[in-house]
Amino acid sequence: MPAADGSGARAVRWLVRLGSLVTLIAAWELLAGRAQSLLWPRPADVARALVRLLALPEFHHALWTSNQAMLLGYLLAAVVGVPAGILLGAAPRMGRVADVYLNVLLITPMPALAPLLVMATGLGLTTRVLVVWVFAVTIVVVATAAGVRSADPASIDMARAFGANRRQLWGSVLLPGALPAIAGGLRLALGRAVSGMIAAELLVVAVGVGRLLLRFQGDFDSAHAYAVALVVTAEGVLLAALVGGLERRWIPWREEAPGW
Amino acid sequence: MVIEARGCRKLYPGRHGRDPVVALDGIDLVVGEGEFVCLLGPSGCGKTTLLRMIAGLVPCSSGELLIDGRPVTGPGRDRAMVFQHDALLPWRDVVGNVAFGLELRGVPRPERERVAHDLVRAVGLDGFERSLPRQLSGGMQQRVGLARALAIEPRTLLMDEPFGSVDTQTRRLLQQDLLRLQAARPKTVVFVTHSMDEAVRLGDRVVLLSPRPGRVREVLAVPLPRPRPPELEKMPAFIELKEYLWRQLRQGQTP
Amino acid sequence: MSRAAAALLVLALALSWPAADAPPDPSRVIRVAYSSTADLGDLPSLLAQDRLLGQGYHVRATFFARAQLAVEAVARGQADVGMGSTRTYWAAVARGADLVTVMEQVANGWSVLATADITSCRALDGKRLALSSEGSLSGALFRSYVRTGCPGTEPQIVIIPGSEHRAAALLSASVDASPVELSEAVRLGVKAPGRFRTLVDFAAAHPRLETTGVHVNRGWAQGNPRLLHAYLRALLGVHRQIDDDPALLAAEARRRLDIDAAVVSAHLRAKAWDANGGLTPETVAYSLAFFSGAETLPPQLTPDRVADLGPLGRVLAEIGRR
Repeated sequence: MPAADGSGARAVRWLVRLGSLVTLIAAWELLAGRAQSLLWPRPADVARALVRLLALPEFHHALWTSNQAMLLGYLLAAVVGVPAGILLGAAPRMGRVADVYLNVLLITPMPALAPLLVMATGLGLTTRVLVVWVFAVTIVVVATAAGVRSADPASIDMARAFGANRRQLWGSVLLPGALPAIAGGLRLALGRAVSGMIAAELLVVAVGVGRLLLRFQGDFDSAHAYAVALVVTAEGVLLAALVGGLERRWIPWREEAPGW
Repeated sequence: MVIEARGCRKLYPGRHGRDPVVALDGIDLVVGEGEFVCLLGPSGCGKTTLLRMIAGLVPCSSGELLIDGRPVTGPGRDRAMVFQHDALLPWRDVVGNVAFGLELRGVPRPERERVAHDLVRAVGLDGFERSLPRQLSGGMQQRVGLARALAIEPRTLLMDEPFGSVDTQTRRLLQQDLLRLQAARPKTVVFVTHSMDEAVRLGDRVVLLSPRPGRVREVLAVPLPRPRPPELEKMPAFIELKEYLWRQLRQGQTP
Repeated sequence: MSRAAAALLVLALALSWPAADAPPDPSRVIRVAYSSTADLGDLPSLLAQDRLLGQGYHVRATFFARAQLAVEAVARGQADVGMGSTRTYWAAVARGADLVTVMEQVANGWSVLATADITSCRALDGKRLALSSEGSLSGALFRSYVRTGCPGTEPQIVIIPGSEHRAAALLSASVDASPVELSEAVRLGVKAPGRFRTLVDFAAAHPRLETTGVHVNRGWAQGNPRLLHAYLRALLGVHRQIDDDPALLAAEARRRLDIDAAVVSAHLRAKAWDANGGLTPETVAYSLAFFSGAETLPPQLTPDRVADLGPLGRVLAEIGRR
């Protein structure tokens, strides 16, 4: 059945989102005002700092510098992760072996991993790209493998009944069927890549946004520090929304709304 | 196309060292060229298994299954299957789904689009060529499945309770459309159903299968005229045959 | 078992049973916040803890993961005393934190280490220099060095958080130079003899610069003058004991912190722990001028806002100056 969302329902959704946001900010203002903490700024101060920051060309330059690592690491994660996930999905025995390594990558805290990376690849862009890659690739691999494994057996039966060979089975049933899961994994990995971008700068070498963050933290300028964090978070959210939009356009047969 | 089963058995390995499960216990059956044969039986009697064996998806454990005298080794272009549900590719539109079998055989695009469009019209889905399966009702999806099977111009249609998941009214319409298409371009049809009404309405012969392990209990001819008249339900022969089948089926249920 | 043996067993158990710790009197508890895991500079305060325990004072030490957290704890009154970077604590004061410095912890022991081929300040031009952050103490020291020694020289600044990561970067030749504290300088000299030279010794260049200090929550200091007095007196006592008996420090450093003798003797040679507490009006004024000149603290800070020499003065009046 067609799943059209009435514009009324959409408006209500946005209203709820806005309402919860306003409540959150009000609570924040109240609690931060009472706490008088060095490390916890009030929303009004953060807003002012944000405006100042966005007007600074130095900030945008820093954003671009940091994002170079993010974009490269993410693309690499997609390029490596999707084929790896397909392989793992196709060969369950290999999947069990690879599971261990995936878990190691996923669970090992980056502060432990980063020094090893630095020893191997130094302090440049390469290492930062690798940190981002580690953050993002596990999600891509896991989601892709799950997508391949969850192929509809009825569709596979049908394709075989119509004489599909192995190559045709992959190309016309298994891979298209896995596409929603792959897209979902790529969307989630984007958020992880943004986290990795910052982690790389705090653990390896601080170049762009991380450098600014350290400066603000050192001066106890929590308003600017939060503003920086806000911009980075917003970037992650926007990028994920972008991918979600592309998903809706190119994968219109999805059953569930790609809201998360 | 003549389909012949000789003592075809199907065994599934037993779980945890138990005895193997006998799904089909020696099927002897002949389906002649152009015949419309209905496989009728209760759930679990193996009728779907038999159909899938004819389709070439599953082999006989022992015995033989021959098509035109040659053993079945796998799926072939001479047979096309129509499934009960959930077998349309959700990312393809109606034309894309109908043309699927042709695409697998390497038929060039313009020709397969032409064939697909013709069949979409033939099954009454004009205007829905670019719709996605999720935008179609159950009955419409089954029409697409039928069109897809017909697109590869098989000599035999293998239909696995294709109208089982739609409401009665839609089922009637689909049955009528099937009979119409069969009359226009006759094929051998093997039609699995658990509805006696449907079996008598559609078939030339009805093969009654017993519950597991499945065996051919009886094969009956359907003495009704073709094309089926509009007053079919009132015809004595129809009522009698239905009653007979109902009694047989009920008998089969009681242990 | 015979009755005598049973009685002896009960007695032995009773004697060996650890005495149940009665909760200490809150009016005799001092909470100390450290900025990271304990290193040699913190050792005197750890030794002072033992002294204080003997006097009936309980010190609860918390080692925070980051300096900012320790400062926040002292500012909020969750800790009473904070040990750590003076610049960092004064930055918090500039933001309104209710803190004040009362004593010096360790004297300025910073220097710039560079690979042996870099022989002058100007030679740093274009070379890779590791800093913890631009606004940090080491960043300020380095900038002042360039300003006075070789203005216009522009090394390539590489920001690497964490002194151990900067040391690793030097060893792996990922950077060419970095400001380091005394302990790190000694360790690098031991790990890679001859590879690095000391380009500038900030202890000689800025002897009056306060780098680490003992900072207290103002409210607590005002409300608990006896506690603060006892703490400072114990700490100063340890500083003087170190002067008299250096071997003691080496032994404790090895035992408690697994720090080797080379690092300890370097600190002793540099007179790292001042026998009179190190903090004076001159050092406070000098440090403020230095930090604001390096643009790492706002210029509006005045000495009375960041330091209170009263408590130290009272301790010195009691035990005399050396």
